[in-house]
Amino acid sequence: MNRFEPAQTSVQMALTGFRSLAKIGAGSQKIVFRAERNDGNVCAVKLYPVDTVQRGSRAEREIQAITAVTGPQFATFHGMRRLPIEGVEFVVIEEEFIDGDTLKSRMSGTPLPISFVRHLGGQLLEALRVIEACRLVHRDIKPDNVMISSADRVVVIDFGIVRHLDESSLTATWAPRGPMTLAYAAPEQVSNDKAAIAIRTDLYAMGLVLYEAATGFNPITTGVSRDTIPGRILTHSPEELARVRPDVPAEFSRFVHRLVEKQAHRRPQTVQAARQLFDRIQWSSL
Amino acid sequence: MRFFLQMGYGMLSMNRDLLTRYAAGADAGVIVWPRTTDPQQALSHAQDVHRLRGSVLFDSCFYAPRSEHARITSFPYWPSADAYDTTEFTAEAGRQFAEEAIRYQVETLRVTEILLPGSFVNTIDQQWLDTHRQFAEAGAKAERGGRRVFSTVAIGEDLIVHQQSFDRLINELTTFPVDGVYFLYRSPNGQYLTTNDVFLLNLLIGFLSLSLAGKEIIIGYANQQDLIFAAAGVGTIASGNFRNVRRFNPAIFEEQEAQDLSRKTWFYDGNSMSEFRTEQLDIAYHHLGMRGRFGPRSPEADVLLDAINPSQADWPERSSFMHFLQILREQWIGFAQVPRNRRAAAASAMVHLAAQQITGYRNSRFALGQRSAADALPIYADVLEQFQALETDRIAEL
Ligand SMILES: Nc1ncnc2c1ncn2[C@@H]1O[C@H](COP(=O)(O)OP(=O)(O)OP(=O)(O)O)[C@@H](O)[C@H]1O
Ligand SMILES: [Mg+2]
Repeated sequence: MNRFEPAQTSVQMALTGFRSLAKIGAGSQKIVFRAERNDGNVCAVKLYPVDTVQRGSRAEREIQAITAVTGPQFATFHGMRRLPIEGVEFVVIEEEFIDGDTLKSRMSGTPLPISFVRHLGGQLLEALRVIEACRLVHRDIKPDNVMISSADRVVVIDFGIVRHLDESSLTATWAPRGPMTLAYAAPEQVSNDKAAIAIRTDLYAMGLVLYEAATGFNPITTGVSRDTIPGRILTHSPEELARVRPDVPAEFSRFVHRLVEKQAHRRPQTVQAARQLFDRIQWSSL
Repeated sequence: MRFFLQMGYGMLSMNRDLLTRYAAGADAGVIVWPRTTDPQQALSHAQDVHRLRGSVLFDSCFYAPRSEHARITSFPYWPSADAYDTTEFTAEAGRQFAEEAIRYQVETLRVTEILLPGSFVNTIDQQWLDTHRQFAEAGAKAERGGRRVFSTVAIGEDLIVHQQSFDRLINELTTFPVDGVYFLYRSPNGQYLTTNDVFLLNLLIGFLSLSLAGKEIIIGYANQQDLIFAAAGVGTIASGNFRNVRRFNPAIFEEQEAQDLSRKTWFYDGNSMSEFRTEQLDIAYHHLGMRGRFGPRSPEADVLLDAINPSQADWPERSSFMHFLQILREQWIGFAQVPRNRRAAAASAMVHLAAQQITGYRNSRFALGQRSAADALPIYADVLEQFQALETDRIAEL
């Protein structure tokens, strides 16, 4: 974060009621803390400088989304307030602290057990079902933004570049493309076909995440130079999952390849359609 | 499966007879159009179809926005010349025009379903996509008493065979806030039955994506070729009397044209998906021993098929049209018996049978003439086979 960032002690003083604070992240529009209340309860605190939370800003949309999505696949929203810290106004969000690792650190380049991959698939579908019902597209589903806590609870975080389907796009039409993480971006994001972006864009990213969870590598980015990635997103079809990892059910492999279809119209168009395919997978044939 | 008639005012009595015969219910109806009717005739036509319990739809014929067609432009929703700038509508004018077109259909004609206006394109362009999405949004917001709304997509062969453009179109259409798409395509080289395999395969794949996205598809200006699109989940076709309403050609909406040229009468031989002249049947009967080989029959066709000399039979244009529309409807509605995800196989079987029929005619030395499907059927067969191989998984989801 290359803007004004207050000293941690100032934050702790301003927040009141917390006995300790530890910074766990700083993105483009916020600072994230693990915060321990005086009563011992832990939560996550997110600080947004108020001038970034203008009407129609990305930060405002992130906050709208955080407050809209509910369910075990998301960090529970506790509350929101405004607070001056070192003379600067901040919007402060308190939410459930997810005590766990990101999926990225869980994977660390090795294939995960099939039973876990199956669980992950079911949970991500449930998260996307909620996101779809809120008329949102997350647009940044990736292993860093999926947290795994105790008892393998799967939590989707980071609505930093969420798209609201009923609101106008924040990306200028002349911009070459909207915000994204290239390694998990769908072809329509890379070619900036804004009108084609829909929940199927998140389904694509979910497909890549599942592929990676099952094989230990991202089939678009692994072993290639960075400048070739946009082209690969548009044209490179990942090697058949069932060949790379022969012990996954054939239907699961087909399911993943349906999600990562290059053409958005060829993927399942709704989470429900994807769910139907997922539920038909014969896991018992393992 | 639904089958609509697509004809002008002059064909009102034929529409009436056909709807009565179909015992019109939800699967039959008429797409009224302004091309050969004035607003008063369109209204009485619509009322008539309502009385016969058929569905009433209205095609606003906006294919050529700069049309000088006096009848088409005389309808109350037609935009004034200044609403439409050099290429497309301004945002406000576009919304207003769509609302007018919807209001006319809902309040004046009391249509069963709404067909939004659509202009013809043969290359993809963002303005066209934006304008048509705007029409779709106007449709989604309009007071419409629960009526379903269809985007009109009228496109040419170049756009359809150009893979990237066509994918882009389908990517967008699958997200339009409409219940379905009223689809009009212009064939390559103006062919009545096309032999362009890429063209047909792309259409099948596009229709499949739209179907799986929950969009109902109505193919307008359809002929026997369009039977194959049952394979991709298409639910409705609309067809008419003359060949210019059984094959989409945007040129006929640009200006009023002289009477239709072809005045010969034809017999639609559904078994071979082909049309033959009555004189061809004479030869078949007298010299080739082929009596009994043509069909299926309709109430009109008996006089022709049972005649000693078919060319002398009482087989006016009207009978030929009625027969065509009867048999085409039966062939289309027949797919309703087949589950959606088996219709690709059923369409394949239909095409193979027709091709076998043609082979049989050839073996009998029957001259197939200019309206046979002999050239197209092998293409249809190949394309359907390819479609089923490429899309096994998605077809299963239909
Ligand atoms: N509710 C939470 N519970 C626990 N940790 C969280 C929570 N929310 C965020 N984090 C941690 O903070 C990090 C940054 O959060 P987030 O991804 O929302 O912000 P960001 O602005 O996108 O930052 P980055 O650019 O690093 O992804 C996450 O990767 C995660 O480790
Ligand atoms: Mg993040």
